[in-house]
Amino acid sequence: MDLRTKKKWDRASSFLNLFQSFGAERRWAPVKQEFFRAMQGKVLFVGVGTGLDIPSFPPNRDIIGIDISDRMLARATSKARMYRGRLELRQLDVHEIDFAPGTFDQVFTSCTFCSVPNPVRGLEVLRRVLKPGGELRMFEHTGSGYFPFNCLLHLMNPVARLIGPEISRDTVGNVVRAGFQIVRVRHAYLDVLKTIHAVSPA
Amino acid sequence: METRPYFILGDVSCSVTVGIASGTAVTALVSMEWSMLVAMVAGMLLGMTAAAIGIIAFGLCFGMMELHMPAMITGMLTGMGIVMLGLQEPLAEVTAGFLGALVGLVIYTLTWMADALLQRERS
Repeated sequence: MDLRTKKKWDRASSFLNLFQSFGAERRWAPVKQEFFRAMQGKVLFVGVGTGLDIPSFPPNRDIIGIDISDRMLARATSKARMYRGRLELRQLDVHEIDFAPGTFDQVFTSCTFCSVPNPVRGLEVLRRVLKPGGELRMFEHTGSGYFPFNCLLHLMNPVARLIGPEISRDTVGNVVRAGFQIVRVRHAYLDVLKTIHAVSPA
Repeated sequence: METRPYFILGDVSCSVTVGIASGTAVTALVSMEWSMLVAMVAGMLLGMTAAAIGIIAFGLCFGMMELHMPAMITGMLTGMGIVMLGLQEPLAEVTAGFLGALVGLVIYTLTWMADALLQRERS
């Protein structure tokens, strides 16, 4: 397990809810509810964090939620218990997922791959645990293709990286580099917050 | 793009507040006797600092991700702009704050328009 990353998110667990639970969640709840509505079959949710996304999950789904930080997961437990379906939480590093190949029908992420140290390797692991033709659905903030937003994100990234996520990543490019086929990319805010729908080649 | 009044009001307030804070801080703290380059860099850094504080404070209620673009651009532009104007003639803090608020309003409007355009661009 990547202990450095684990420590960083263990620390963040104490203040993440303060910054995310009211404003950001309230703003993006409608988008997330629509995004998670596509959950079906056996679902892997990567980066469950403190469980802020759990109330947006549709009921009666079969989900395994993973996170590198046990402190994050401890905070997510009460929300997971309230979920009306099957939701199991596990502490796992996305680079070292040990599920058998082809275990999942879908993988969901929500603001996760801005924080994974080696995103392409992490995505390759996810492709391995997906069934052939399985879906990868991501709600992520990424870098921008437009001036002055890209310039600004690169300027702010070194500071953002210290306390939390990277904010200038080419996540769509990383998905393609990991061997997925892009189905659809939708912008949620400018071109820096987006939903990505990709499939593992059959 | 954002159409809910609560969030639009929050986003505008953040940008305008950052503009006012950047303008007044630059007028109060940056000497126009410094070399132009040093003064502009100092102005930009002060603007970015004001923006960072504004993003954290307003982000609690409105979400940081959507505030940081217009607020950071507002802080940087106001910081540099006020230095450039101040080098030509001395500016009162109130005037600098008013100009900063104006920059904040314009930048927010442009960002909102860019968001509207980009959301139409879907692949």
